[in-house]
Formats: sequence, structure tokens, C-alpha cells
Amino acid sequence: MENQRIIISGLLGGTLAAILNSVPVLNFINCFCCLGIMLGGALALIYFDRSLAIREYLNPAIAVTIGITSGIIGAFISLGIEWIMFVNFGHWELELLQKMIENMEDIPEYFEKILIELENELHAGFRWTAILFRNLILMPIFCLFGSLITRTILNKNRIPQG
Amino acid sequence: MTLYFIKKKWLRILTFLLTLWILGILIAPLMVISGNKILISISDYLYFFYKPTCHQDPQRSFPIAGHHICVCVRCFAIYLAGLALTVYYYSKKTIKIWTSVRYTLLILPALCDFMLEKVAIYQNIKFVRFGTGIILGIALFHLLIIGTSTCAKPQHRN
Repeated sequence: MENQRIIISGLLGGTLAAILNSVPVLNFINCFCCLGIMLGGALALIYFDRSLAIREYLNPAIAVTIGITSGIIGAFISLGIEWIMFVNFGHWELELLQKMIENMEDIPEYFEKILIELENELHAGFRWTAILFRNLILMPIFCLFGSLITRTILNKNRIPQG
Repeated sequence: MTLYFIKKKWLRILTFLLTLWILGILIAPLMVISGNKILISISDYLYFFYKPTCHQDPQRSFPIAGHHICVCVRCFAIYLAGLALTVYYYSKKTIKIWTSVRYTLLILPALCDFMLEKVAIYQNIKFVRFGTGIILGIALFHLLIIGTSTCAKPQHRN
């Protein structure tokens, strides 16, 4: 029962984190301290807390488990969303930048640097493995941050058992 | 006010991870400067790795010998504040949770700076971004350290 609740919370949190990590425009929220991914971890813990019959004190182990679970699930969902985006819209960041540059008379130096970085990324053979590897490290870390911070807030007026 | 007992093991792990994280941020431009092809490839991956966590706008990042670091000034300040806080609390045995007002007051400057830049009241003042980032980092990592404290017992309440 406990494991089932953890997995459902992880799925819910992971889905939110993945959407906020991969959907264009929405992922700008991560520019503010990876807030989008942290929200995934926070949602997972809030859902777990709400699914309990009694609002009990949440121990750190449960916050860590839920944070990491939602991060790992989110990493795979995020890869799926990024793949769907790439198949349907191509490398949208690169195309957006190319369109912006087309309308410019003087191209700022840093625009060129970003363009080169994005082009290198596009031609990298290990793109999907690299994205998965990155997601599998980053998302559990930030989901964990989100769930631990949420644990502090939820536990504020609760008394530990034992 | 609840008093939390800090478990040193958690803080050690957190400090170690944060140090690695900050080193990764700083080492990427140094690898580019080196000119070595392998190191440049590693630095490319490092920039790619940190990309989801930050916009990586070169104009909003600290440069090292002409190459920007992996994250912007604000993100870098948040991580630095986090590292300083974990080192500070390493010498302490307990940590008190602050009031919601205090956390709000610490988060507000960064939020205001973010919003004011978005509505173009002013643009890209690095020391403001750094300062507000430090304050935000203190609030976030204070909550995080309490979150990782394994043994939490309420001592007294106001």
C-alpha cells in the first residue's frame, strides 16, 4: 500500500517535473532556480501527504524516497516529451534563434556562441543518451530538493512520533 | 519555534555535492581555455548538463578569461550561499526553523529583481542579481538543511 502510494506520488510529481522541464516556453520557469523541477518533487510529497488517512509527521526517509522516485520517473517522461517535441517541431531553440538572427543587422557575439553551442548539440551523436544521463542526474536532485523543502513546510506544526 | 537536530552525515553529503556542483560550473570555461580537444568536449557536455538549470546567457554570467561560467550570476550566488550555509551549520548542533515572514522577506528581493527585469525597469545589474541570489540561496538552503535533518523534535513553541 505504502509502495503503491509512493509510486503514484512519484508518477504525478515526475509528470509535472517532466512537463515543466521539457515543454517549450513552460521550461523557462527553470531559469528561476530550477523551480519547475522542484515543483514536481513538492507535488509528489503533497499528494503523498494528502493520501494519508491522518496528517502525520513526515520523516526525511519518505521525503527522500518520494523526491528521488519522482525525479527518476520524471527523467524518462521528460526524455519522451523531448523526443515528441523534436519529432514534431525539430530543434525549436535553434530554429527560433536562426529566425531571430535573420531579422538582425548586427548579430551580437553571444548569439553566435549560443548558435554554435546549439548546432553542436544537434549534431552530437549521443544526443538522446546524453539527455537521459543529464535528466537522470538533474531531475532526482532537484525533485529531492523540492520534496525536502516541502517536508519542512508540511512538518512545521506536526509532532514526530516515538 | 521548532528546533531541529542536524545530522552531520547529511550535511557532509550536501556539502560534498554542492562543492562538486560549483566546481563543475567553474571548471567548464577553464577547460575551454586549455585548448585541449578532449577537455573542450568535456566542457561542451558540462554546458549542456547545466543547461536545464539555467538560461546560461553569457551577458548575465561571470566570465573567466572571456568564457562564461555554466550558470548565470543569480544561480551561482544561490549555490555559493548554499555552500556557505552548509559549512556554517556544520559547526552547529541545532537549527531553528524561521517564521514564514522571514522566508518570504528573503525570497522577495530575488522575485522583485526578476520581475523588474522582465518589465524592463532596469536590465542586468550583476551585483544586484548576485546579492538577491545570495539572499534567496540562504532561504532555500536553510529550508533544505532542515529538510535533511533526520531527527526533528519540537522543543518549545512560541
